Amino acid sequence: MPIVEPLAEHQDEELAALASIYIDALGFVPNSFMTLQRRPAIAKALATLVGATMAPDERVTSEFKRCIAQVASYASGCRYCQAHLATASRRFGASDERIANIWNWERSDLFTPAEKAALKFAQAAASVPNAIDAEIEAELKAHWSDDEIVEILGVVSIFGFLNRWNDSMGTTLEPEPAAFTKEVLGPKGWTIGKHGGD
Amino acid sequence: MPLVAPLTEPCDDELAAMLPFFEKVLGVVPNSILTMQRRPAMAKAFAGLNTAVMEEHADGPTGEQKRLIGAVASYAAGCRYCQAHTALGAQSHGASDARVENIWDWERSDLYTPAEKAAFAFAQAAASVPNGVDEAIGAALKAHWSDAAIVEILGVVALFGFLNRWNDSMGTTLEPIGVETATARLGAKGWTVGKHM
Repeated sequence: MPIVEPLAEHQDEELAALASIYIDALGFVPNSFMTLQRRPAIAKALATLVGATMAPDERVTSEFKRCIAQVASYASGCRYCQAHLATASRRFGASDERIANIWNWERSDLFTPAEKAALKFAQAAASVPNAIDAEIEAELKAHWSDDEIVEILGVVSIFGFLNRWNDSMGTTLEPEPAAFTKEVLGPKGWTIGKHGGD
Repeated sequence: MPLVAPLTEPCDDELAAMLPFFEKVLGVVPNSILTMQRRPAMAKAFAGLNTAVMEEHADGPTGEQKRLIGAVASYAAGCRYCQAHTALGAQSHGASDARVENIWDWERSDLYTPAEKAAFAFAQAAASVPNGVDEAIGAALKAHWSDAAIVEILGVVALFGFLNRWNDSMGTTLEPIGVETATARLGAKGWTVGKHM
């Protein structure tokens, strides 16, 4: 059960409009957004930041941003985020194979060297204690520009917000991502855990 | 040395207008935002979230309490830049030297109220990996804070979820005022500037 229940309705028109950011990416309005609306200004500001950090960049694509965020969410352990990211990845064109093998990115040939440099960075950045070292930094800079690195770290950091949010609130996972994630990531060990709603 | 250098000037007037908020709280424009502004939309949206999260409500934590909550989260995660900045922020919101200096030891200290300790326990568990929030921590929180206040407290903890990852990964250079304050207030408890030089 979540610590605090989501609200049933959008608290104002601006929030109803901002919900489209989530609907575009996920196909539904998340319980996390509906819970956060108990402080409307925070909900609005977060939706805006999610929109800004997850918008596609030329080389850091929408699909790859979900891969980055997924690796970060595996490092921290938030199963709600893992489910949402698997769902969004599919919507942005990832194959089921790429979704299913993201946990194994280091050994998989489904990811390019540039992508692996970013994913290694994401994994180290989301670890506690922080595990970034000179080698990881050098590899990252070999493949990505300074501005792209800011873009990549933005994704890792917004999931710093979201991983803590959902793993602490115990947000109830919505039926659509629950079903999809069970199918695609269940065989890799994903379970709904604290996000089952009861 | 940071992974990526900050830009020395605000990227545009809109961002420049958001910087006084940080200057007021910290006494300086933080290098974190100056680096983030290489992606202006992200920096502006982040500044907007920071402002919204730190806004005070009648039934929620004070600005001073919010910075102490952020400090506890930053100790759990290990980001020394954020530890310095939350010390600065707590001070500018009226925290005594003692409340800043003893925050790492909140559990045993009599400087903090039961309501504050419920929030600190939550922050510490929430910022741990794996996540350590359990029913007892949730129940203690609900005993002292309204549902909306809990959302707000978690907003602070989660804001530092963004900032801890950002600064500990970027290796953001800590500004002189941050080094000075953290050394004075936290040095005796083992704080060092580490990677943030």
